[in-house]
Amino acid sequence: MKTFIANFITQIKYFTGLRVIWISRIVYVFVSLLTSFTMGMVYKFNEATQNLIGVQNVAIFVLTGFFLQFLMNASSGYTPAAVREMIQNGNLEYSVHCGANIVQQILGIYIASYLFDFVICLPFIVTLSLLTINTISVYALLSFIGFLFISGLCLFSIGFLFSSLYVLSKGFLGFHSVIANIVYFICGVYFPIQGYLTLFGSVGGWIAIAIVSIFPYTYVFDLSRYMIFLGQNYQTFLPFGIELIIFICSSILIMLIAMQLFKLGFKRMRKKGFISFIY
Amino acid sequence: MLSASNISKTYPNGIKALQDVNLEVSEGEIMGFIGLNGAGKTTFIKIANGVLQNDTGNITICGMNPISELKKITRKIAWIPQDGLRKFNTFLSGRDNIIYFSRLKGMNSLQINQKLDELLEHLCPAKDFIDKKISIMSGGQKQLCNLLTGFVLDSEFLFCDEISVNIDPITLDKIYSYLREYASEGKSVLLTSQNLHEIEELSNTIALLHKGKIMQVGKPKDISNKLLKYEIIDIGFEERMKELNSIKDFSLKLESIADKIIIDNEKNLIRIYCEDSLSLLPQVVEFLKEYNFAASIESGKADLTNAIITLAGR
Repeated sequence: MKTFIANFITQIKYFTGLRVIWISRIVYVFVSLLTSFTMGMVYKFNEATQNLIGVQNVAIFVLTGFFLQFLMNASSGYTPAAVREMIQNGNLEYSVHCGANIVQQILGIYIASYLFDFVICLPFIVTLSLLTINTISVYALLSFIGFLFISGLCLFSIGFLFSSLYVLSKGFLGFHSVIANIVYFICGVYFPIQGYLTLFGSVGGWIAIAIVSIFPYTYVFDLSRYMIFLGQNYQTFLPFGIELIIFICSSILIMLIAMQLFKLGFKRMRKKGFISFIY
Repeated sequence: MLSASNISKTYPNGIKALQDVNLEVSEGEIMGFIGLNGAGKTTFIKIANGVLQNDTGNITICGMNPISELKKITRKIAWIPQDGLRKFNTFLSGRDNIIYFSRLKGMNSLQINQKLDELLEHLCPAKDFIDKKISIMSGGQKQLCNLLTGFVLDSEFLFCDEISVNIDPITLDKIYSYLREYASEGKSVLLTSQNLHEIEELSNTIALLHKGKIMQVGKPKDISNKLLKYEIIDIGFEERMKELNSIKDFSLKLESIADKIIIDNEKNLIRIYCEDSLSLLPQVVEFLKEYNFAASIESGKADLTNAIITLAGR
């Protein structure tokens, strides 16, 4: 726990003490907004989504897109970036010497980054929520924010998996974002995965749904969409409880796999002497 | 305190960094670990600090293996890496960085601040620099932060890899006294440096590593006597003479009477290592008359660096 606290505090100090970080994060929020607006428009004119939810308010689409964009960046971006930086500046090597728990170390950085970005995004989320208040319930919004925390924590496993592959083979860094984007796409970031049924027919569609169900992203995208569009009270969430459990379980499974890969990569690095390679 | 036997390490590119290295460092000892660049000093230190796996051999510090039992001994060992500056977050203050790394070792911020203030009082009266961001510190102040990261742990074994870089002579003197005091409390230090004056000044024992092998281990005086018995004769020649065969012929001729001869084409000189330069000088002058290319001739005592080159070359 000490390692987690040390990293969490240091990262928060680093973020809050540097003006350029604030500026870059605010710019990043605007870029995300722009992207999510586009995504919102895609939702709006996506027939499958229309059939599923029957909502017309663009702000809802933008809010959902913004949320998904935020989660995607957090899950696939923070952890590999932190690990890469730690390897490059020799911090990882020194942490090994300190006997620090590397998972706690990375988790500390991840949670701090996630919270910091969340605080920056909050005014935008509130504004968008006010714009949609007539369409969706307060209950849905609160659940949505709660889900943001759970999913944020669970998606750490994905980032950690990317980092593990990176530690295992440094060449992975070059195309990890490509892989991440393909995974987002097939997991239904731009359309509900039920759209596969229209696209590939019933047999092919269900096979495709079964394949993408391996990835936790599918549940995040699906759940967040349902939560914000259909969540009027707790009863409306009940059918999706099982999906939430599957999501948490698959995240734990991925985390365990990632930890083993990380250990393997680490062992190899320790043996080869490339623990602090510089590009 | 530290016991290494038959430590070998070969990197995947085939470089044999260490070959059957045996080393013992006892309690209260400051061991100077010297050798040319690429001799394997840092590789050995990384193995001893648990960040690199040795291929063969056994190593223990405080009775424990640094790879398999690292978590148990991490508070007992401290490491000041030679490139330790790059691990700092340059947008945080020196104090914040030191607190961060000490926390990873299990210390709490109260302990760290107390020890840090004590050290700053002792080592540098102008201590305000510690609360500045690393990015605006001078090179010496950054290096001081690097040293303090190791010193603040007050561990039983300290690895110092090239500590004197960028440090001013007054602070350096205080650091030397601190290390002596540190060792007098029964703690051990393994010190590597290219500054041989520093090694002589601080070490109780010196180990000379060359091409991954330990060449000599002994008390500084014994090593110095052994190494410093060499004297040098430098024969300068002009740039245009560089390609002459006579220089090579002359060098070959000298090999029968000198211990080692090095032709330095960058400095345009032939350096002769010998045990007694004065007695050898007339013979050298005699040879020179024959070849007639010398622009200057100088003789004197070899410094430790030159002597190491000679010994390592044998």
